[in-house]
Amino acid sequence: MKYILLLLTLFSVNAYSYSNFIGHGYTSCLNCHFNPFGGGPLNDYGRVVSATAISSTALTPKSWDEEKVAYMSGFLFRKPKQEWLRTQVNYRGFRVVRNPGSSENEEAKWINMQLDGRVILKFGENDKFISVLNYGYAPLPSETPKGTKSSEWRSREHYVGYRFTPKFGLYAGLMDKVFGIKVIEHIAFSRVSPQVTQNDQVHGVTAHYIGQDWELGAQGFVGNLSQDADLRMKGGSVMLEKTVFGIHRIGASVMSSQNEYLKLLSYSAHTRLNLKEGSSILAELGQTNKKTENGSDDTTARFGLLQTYLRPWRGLYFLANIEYFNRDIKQDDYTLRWGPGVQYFLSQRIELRADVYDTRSFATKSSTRDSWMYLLQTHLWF
Amino acid sequence: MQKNYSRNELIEISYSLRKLGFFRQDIKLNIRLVKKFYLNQNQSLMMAIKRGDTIDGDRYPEALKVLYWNLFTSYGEILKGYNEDSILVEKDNKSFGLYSKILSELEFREGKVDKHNDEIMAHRQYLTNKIYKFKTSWFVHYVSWQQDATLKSNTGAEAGLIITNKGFCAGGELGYENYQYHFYFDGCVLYGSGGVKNNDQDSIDNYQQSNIPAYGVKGGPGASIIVSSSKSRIGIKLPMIYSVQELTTPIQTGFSVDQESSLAFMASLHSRWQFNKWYLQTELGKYITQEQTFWGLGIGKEF
Repeated sequence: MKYILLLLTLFSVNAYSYSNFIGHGYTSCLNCHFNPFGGGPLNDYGRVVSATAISSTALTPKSWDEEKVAYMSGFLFRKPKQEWLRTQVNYRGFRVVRNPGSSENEEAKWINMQLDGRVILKFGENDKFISVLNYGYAPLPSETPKGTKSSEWRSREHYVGYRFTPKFGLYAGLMDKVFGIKVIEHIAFSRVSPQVTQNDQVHGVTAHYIGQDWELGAQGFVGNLSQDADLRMKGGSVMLEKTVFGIHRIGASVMSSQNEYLKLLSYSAHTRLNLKEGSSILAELGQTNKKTENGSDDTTARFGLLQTYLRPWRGLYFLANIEYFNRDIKQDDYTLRWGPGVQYFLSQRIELRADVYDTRSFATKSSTRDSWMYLLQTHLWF
Repeated sequence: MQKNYSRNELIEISYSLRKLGFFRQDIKLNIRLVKKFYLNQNQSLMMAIKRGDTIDGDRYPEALKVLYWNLFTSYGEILKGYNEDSILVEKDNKSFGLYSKILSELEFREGKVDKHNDEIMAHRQYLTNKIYKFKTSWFVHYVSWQQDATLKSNTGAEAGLIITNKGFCAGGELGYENYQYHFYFDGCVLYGSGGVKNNDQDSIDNYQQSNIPAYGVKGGPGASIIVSSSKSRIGIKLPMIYSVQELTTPIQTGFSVDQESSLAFMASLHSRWQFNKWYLQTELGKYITQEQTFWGLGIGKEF
């Protein structure tokens, strides 16, 4: 089981959150998602934004105006007839090619990464009470030992939430941890090092406060209850963001968690900059102190992320992903991952994406060739 | 134009001229109509506007207001037809502004007048934005690049070496840009260092060096498309890189090191995010005839 969870973490690629949309003026995830920290199902407003501001109009009939496009953004291509129930279906698959062009080492495969059904119950003014269930398919890594009893179908998240006031809400259930910038790439060092990747959801209680210029999240968690008790990472986290110059965000996070074998303390500072018309910069720098049961692998790792987005036309985003990772800050060796990407929202419900990752090691006692990987991804949602 | 055309015929001709796109001829005709049929009203209105008097629109005939409207829209169409800024644009815009003011004072079709004004203002801004301006800037980049070499023994055995370098490149950029495109040439002086080690599995004894100094120059032409009002941009560059880095000959006798050419050409992706005069930029280049890549991340400032 420990092995599977480790592989799940390493294998996960996407968490499906678009922090870069600060470039469209959306500083808070709460605008578009039921989860105030992003990811998971979109709310009605989020679907409309996705249709009328994010996606291209390449497949939209010319006779449709934006109002019609917004109307068609609902689950059944129409505005829902009731207020209390929302359903969504989400699919992601991609072709991953490692060491492309190498006659000996090229490895290519198609992976169905996600097929989720989502049900959201919501009641009260401004969706005061919500209940979210996100259940679906997530593949086991190919390295998983045969005969392992682990289902590929599971709940990704299930929680209830209540907003006491528009500014303050409490959420309880299985959710993502509240920490740092939730970028799409879950192989990002800034997600792997503090263990906040696609499959690192935990059961807990999350408080969310949003003020005029501040946004605060605090979470207490007891691990993922579907895991063996000794592996559950229990702890808490706090994330604070402040709006600066009216359109940008700066923030900081700290998270402490531990199980019977491992104790982690992660902290980071981040910023999200709105460069207007969809262009943005995301940056994060942090560290993770790791203490193991017998002290044999106690380290402090440092991670950095710089992700830049440019939007030449509606629907199309060019990005550059630059990552830094030093596994042990007492050592000089470190790794940089660098790569361009293209993200195209062909229409609402269809996202196509291509990413290249060039990973280079800087070591005092070795010098190796870069390792390359590219991904061609399809994301469909209804 | 013959003098015996009736007033209605002249109005029909004016309408036809506008439909056919002969706006200058239409302007001449409308001015003639104003002078011929509304000379006194026109003069008194002009004087009143000049004095800054309050205008009572009801005192002026509707037909005269329509003639002013025709002049206003014809000048608007002429302005919209310009593809680049010039003295003529300024001249026609002055006339357009005059009739805009007259119509506003007369409170005639105010909503439409405002709409036309906005359109012309936007078009004039577009013409201004299209003009290419000379721009220069300086920048400093953190850079990393790799170079190939081969470790050889006199027995014929060979081992591939890869030198991983990091350092800085400081230089400048000059070029022309308008609101949409940027064409430029940039260059910088490169200084850094790197290490090399052969693979432990090679059939040659270990060869390792670290902190080998490297210096050189990098530069070439580039073109970008500007994608936001904050002047964020993305583009391509075709730089050459010339770097000097001397690997020492192995101390074991019978071994030598062959280095690749110091001159290489690249194709690179370049993006920039601008904060007023300061900017952050990235570059990812691939050597054209080699496997290696070049990375750059840095800041710069426009002069």
